[in-house]
Amino acid sequence: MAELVHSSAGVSQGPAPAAPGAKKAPTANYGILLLPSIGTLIAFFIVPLMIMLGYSFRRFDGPAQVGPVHYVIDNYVKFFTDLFYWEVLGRTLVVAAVVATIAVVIAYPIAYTLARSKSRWKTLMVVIVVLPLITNLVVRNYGWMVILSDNGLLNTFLQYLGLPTLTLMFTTTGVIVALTQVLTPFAVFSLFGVIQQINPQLEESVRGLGGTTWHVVKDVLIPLSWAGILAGWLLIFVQAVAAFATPLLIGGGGRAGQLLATLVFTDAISTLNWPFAAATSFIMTAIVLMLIALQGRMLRAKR
Amino acid sequence: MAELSNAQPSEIVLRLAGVQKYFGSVAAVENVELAVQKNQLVTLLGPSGCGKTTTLRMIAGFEFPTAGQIVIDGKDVTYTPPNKREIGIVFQSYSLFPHLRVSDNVAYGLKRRGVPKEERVQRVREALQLVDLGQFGDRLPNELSGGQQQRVALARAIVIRPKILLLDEPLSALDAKLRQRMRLEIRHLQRQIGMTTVLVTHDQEEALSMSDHIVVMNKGNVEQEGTPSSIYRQPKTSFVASFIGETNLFKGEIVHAANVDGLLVFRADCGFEACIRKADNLEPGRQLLLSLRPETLTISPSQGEAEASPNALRGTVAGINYLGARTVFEIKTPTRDLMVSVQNDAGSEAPVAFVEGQTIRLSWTPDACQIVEIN
Repeated sequence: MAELVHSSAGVSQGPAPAAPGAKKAPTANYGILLLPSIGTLIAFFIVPLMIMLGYSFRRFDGPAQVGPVHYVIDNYVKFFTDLFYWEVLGRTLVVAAVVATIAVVIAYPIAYTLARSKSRWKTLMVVIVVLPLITNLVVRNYGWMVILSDNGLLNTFLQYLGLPTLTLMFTTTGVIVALTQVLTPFAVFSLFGVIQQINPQLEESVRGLGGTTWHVVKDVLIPLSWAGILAGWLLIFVQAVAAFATPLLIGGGGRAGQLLATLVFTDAISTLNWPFAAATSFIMTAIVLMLIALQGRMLRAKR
Repeated sequence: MAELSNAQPSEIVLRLAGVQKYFGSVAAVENVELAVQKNQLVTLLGPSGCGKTTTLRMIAGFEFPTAGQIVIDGKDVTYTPPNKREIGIVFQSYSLFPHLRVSDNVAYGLKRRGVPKEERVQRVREALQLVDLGQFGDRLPNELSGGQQQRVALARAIVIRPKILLLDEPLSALDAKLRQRMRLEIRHLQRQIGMTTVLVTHDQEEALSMSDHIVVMNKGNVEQEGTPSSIYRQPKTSFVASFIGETNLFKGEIVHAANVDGLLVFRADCGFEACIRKADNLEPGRQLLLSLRPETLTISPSQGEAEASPNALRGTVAGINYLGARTVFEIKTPTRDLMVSVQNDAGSEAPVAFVEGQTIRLSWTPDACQIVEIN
């Protein structure tokens, strides 16, 4: 007993003098660790973004030229006064919204199964879900071309069944299908986390109180995973708005391929109208930022 | 709420016949027969993995039996989904809907039953008053304490006036003090509204204090059933004897009839002899277990010389655990250790008249001897 008292006194003496130093340490040192990432962010993201913002207010002085420092809003006026750009903007938003919605609907059962699964194949299932993301973009899109083209796998199969064939290549539907496939994993993962947080006994409570599967979904799963649904939807929407390779390859040169991102791409790379490309980019960015703000507001209203 | 029912006490509300449940090739429940009478509180008691929770989940309809039949109120519901069974269930984790206010939680089952809004509001208010939470209807579940949440869960289950109330370890998430109070409250409520109830617990004290009838389960089977006192006083198996309460078990055999009428002599393998009450199934030569509850043993100072009398042992005090109302002594005998529980006198200054290392004499009456089958 005496020994115990003695040793505990020894311990309490030890840290006492060290305490003031230990107090200072965390606040003083840990901030330094963030410097490399903050520096990189400023040098390679914020600064170029500011330069681009500057470009968007300059005049188009011929291909690959940036007009003299002469701040105008011509580029923005051009965008919002030409019906063509309104159409592209509308198509982009519709495609992105449809892709995000379908992806969330497809992802929900997958995420639910993963979240509730106790199977030892769970890791394999996760890998399968991630697969589209780790497949090379070109390979993936050429794969879709093989499936979707007029004489492709899908139509051959439909013909074999005696059904009418579909035109999917170079159509908005085709773009939506291909985008949905690659973006669905994002919804799966944002839903997976929130569904795992939902106590499975809540589902049994609903059933025990007389509810059906529909009530489980409507009264427990959707309200309690609402944050994940919104986050997943927005994550996909943002990426669908920004997607350009898939619309370019599957949508082609026609209307189906003309979305905001491909427009920026053509302006920047083909027509070399850099100020207008910059302005279009910032319109895209503004839309996305507004949606993120809206999401925050919706989540707060829910609480 | 529901007025006290004046139904026949023998009316069976729930019956399980030969119920089995296998998960793959593993038997969770091997064979359970159960009959629950109206307005009774029946407890399924056993260690974890004994099949009690699986049995409850089959009664609720969350699992379907591999074989056997479940009948509620004369209707075969063996394969009826839970939402069509008219049961109320309270889980260990409360599982209140975290996004719904307390009153909406309680109203949920009524809503699903299409009870009109006015009646719903009325019944929710009554149910919340019944569990003493009349003022808390507008709160969210996470604004309540654990005990209050448990009472909301209880109100949510009984407001639908289920045929059977199922309680799945309802108190194990609460601290000891609250648990004891909730035991009384639940029991009181259950009596007051006359609710047929099946309780699942691994806590033998909870089972003894709350139940009309206890079903002790072990390894997927019913080990013994009966009233709390019969389970405690006449355990039929060594499992029941050691699971319910504390006991000292001795292996041994019946040797012969005693000199006194109506008594038999049991000789423990560790050496001593005990006089026990005669019973039909106790013929000489049978290997049996003798169970001596700690509170049936009497300690007295040793006279010094070795007593050869039956129903007595000499030992030394190896440990003294003062527990307030009683004191538990650990007694070392030449062959093994025993536990003895002594009620402390209320007014006595020094409740413990013995000291560690002291040689003492243990004795007991023939009635204290419980004979248990070896299994």
